[in-house]
Amino acid sequence: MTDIIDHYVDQYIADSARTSASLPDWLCAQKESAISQFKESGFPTLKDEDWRYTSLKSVVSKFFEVKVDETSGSADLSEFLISELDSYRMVFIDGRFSQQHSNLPDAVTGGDITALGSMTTAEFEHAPQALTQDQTTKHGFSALNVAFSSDGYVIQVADNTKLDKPVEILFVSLSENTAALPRNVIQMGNYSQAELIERHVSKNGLSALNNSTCQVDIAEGGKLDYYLVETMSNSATQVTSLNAELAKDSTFSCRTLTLGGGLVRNNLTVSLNQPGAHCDMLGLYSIAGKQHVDNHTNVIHAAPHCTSNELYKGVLDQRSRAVFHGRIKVEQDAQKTDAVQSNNNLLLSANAEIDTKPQLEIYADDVKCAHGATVGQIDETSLFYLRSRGIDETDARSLLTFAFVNDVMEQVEVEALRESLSTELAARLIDENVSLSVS
Amino acid sequence: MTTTESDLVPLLKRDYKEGFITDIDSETLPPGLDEDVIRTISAKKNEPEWMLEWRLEGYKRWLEMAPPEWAHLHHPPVDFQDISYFSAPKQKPLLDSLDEVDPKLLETYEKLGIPIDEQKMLAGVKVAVDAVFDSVSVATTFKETLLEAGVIFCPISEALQEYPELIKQYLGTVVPPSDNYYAALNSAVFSDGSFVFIPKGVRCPMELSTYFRINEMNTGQFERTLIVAEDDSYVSYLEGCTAPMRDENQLHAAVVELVAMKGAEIKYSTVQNWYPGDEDGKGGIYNFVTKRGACRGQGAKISWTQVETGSAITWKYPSVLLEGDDTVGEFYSVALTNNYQQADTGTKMVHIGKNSKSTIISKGISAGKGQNAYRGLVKILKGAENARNYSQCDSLLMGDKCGAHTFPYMEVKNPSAIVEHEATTSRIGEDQLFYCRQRGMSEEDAVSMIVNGFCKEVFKELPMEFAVEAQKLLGISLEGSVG
Repeated sequence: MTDIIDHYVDQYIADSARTSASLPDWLCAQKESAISQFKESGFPTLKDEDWRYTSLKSVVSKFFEVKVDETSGSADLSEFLISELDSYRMVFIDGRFSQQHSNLPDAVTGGDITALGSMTTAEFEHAPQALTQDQTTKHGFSALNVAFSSDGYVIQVADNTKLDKPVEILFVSLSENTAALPRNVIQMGNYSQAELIERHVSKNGLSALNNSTCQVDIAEGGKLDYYLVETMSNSATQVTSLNAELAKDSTFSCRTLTLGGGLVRNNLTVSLNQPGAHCDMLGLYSIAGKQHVDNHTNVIHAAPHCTSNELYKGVLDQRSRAVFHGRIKVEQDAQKTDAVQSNNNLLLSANAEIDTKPQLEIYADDVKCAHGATVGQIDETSLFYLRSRGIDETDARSLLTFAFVNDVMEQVEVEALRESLSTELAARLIDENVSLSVS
Repeated sequence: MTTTESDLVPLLKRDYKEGFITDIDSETLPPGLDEDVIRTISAKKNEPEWMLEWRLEGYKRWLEMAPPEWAHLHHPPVDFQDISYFSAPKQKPLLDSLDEVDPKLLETYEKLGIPIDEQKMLAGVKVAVDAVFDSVSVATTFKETLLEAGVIFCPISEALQEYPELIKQYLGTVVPPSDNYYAALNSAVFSDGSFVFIPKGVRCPMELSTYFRINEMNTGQFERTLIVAEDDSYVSYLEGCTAPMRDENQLHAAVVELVAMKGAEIKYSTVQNWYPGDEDGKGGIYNFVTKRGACRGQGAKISWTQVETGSAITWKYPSVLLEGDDTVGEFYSVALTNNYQQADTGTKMVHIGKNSKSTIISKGISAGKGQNAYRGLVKILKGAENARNYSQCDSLLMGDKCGAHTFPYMEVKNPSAIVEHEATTSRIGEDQLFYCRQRGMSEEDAVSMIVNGFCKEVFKELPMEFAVEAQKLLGISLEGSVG
């Protein structure tokens, strides 16, 4: 493992020699502290309780190059775009911001949308607190990400404003053997409202690492609808670490939709810091082949009268494997908490595997907490109903499978996105699902 | 310095006490653990050579391991060299009548509803040989009944002398010496325990609990229990007692192994009420137990029921390996933590055979500053077609300084499996309390009733007389935690 650590540390040294002069001191300090943490911890191993079901062999055996130079603007990205989606679009290619492909007006009313890699000294001076505050890096991946702080989106939404269009961020991996390390920040002002769609895609058959972090701060009464859409190719690795801090009466809705990626790991931590905060976390994974999806969620109820609601649903086919580890922590002061968590899984193949761990840690007594997890098959009575209506078994099964996960999809409020993903899901589960008939 | 006679009296008394201890010292090894200690234990017990080898193997493995730290428990590290690993059973000085017994203890017995003669026995009062309740003769009668049925039930050290081949065949096959840190330690130094063997087709004529209660109450610090049920046999075994146990040893590391062959059923119930430490969390027993059963044959069934109210630290995961087809595993648990008690307990159900089923019902009650964690694993292996699991973990919190935690792990590798886990956390509602108070119940009675209702699903699995006592026990353990 030391080899791989040295590999990244060497790149870090070269990169910071080039860039540090133009960066503010606080950012250099963050980077330094993060790299020393990375040197110490390296990448997590199966021995870490939080990574016990996810082997990182494929990641630590490859020496990915972190792309530091500006990207070329000639690539054709049309295959990755959702044409009906009307949005403010930022495009990052191999982790670097691409102005040419983006679709950003000079000024967005109430919003400030920039790329970390091209921030000027003046912009750094007005950088949101979510970026300037001390960063907590929980594992080697986020430490590595903060160490480079090479690029990423920095979005601020002003008090009492609502963005008129969703902001779409497209992370595209195009070059073989690269590591994209976008470091992202969203700061929501008092009573502000926004929709943000973060999409991760890659060229087919590409071996690449996308290791992103996202710091979300929502001030009083703010509301953020956040979509994490993961459709990279099955040869790519994606690690996402999101940390959200919620103030009084704010709402954070997070939907994680995973259809692609060879190895996908999502670490979502949401802290409900003041009374009245609410968070919704919905997740969907539909995987096949040798895909491995690991969802880690950590909801921390640190203040009274907060509510959280979590639902993750997954369908696993062929040799795929999914991991769900949901943790709800209710601290001593967090009386009147209402927290619900559930994880439901459908295994379609004899070689698929699910490891689920819904975990509760409760230190307050006046709370309502419930969690549940299921692994099972399609309900026989529903199947019988469809068959009695003349639908053959294969079709009936695939319809029910689709319906099982699609209720999460229906919670996607951006219509164009929902249509596009729903179609993809239907194509995957209804038409092409060969192994359904086998089981 | 002058010495008066009155000064001498306490000294004289103390002299007697120490003299008494010196008397046993010849049977106690000095603290510390090395190979020689293990050889001495084995020699004292006159064990066969292979048994010594087995112990040494356990010791070797133990040296290579580190104490597990993953549990949701906080305690200072245990100094394993500060423990004496062999001492002959302690002779309690016999008292002449119940009047000499600590009135607090008597009060507890009273509340538990333990008959007066049994109280005497528990408290170590001399019981006249011709008393109505003659423990010796009753025990002898039981022994005869068991022998007639062909059931072997004896201390494991005795079994090593009389049935060495049975022990050799089964010992360590469910919990191997290398299983975990505390199991390895136990394998190396276990002092005694019970051995039960139920031959083919025999239904054990009595609850072994009954026998246990009358005969032998002194459990060792490193107890080892092995129960083997041959084809189509049945046995129900109860370990422990609702009466408070004041044990001097702080560390307990027991191992229990169950083997159920084709169609056999073993029901193992535990009531544990060891010293939990005082109200400030000082003292108390550390209880690190490895319990596991193997359903070896088709249709075998193992059922664990536990009521854990004592100990400062409880680290215990009674598990079932469902190896045969159509096997059944059950786990029913009530764990209560009050004051500074901490419990990390749960189960492991490993589904290997087809159509294997498991049920987990866990009820955790936290009061005072207690921390109560359920940690369970349900593992469905690839070959376990149509496996079925249902888990339910409910927690009840009393007071705002305690904690209730749930760590369920589910690993499923077969698509035909149905695995369900549910957990809820709640407190005793003001309205529930109000309702009971309004009907004329005292607050403590109301709480006790609500808690017992909460635990009903588990209590109904206990042998009847224990179920009654266990209910009362909960009430006593919760005393002072309300209001």
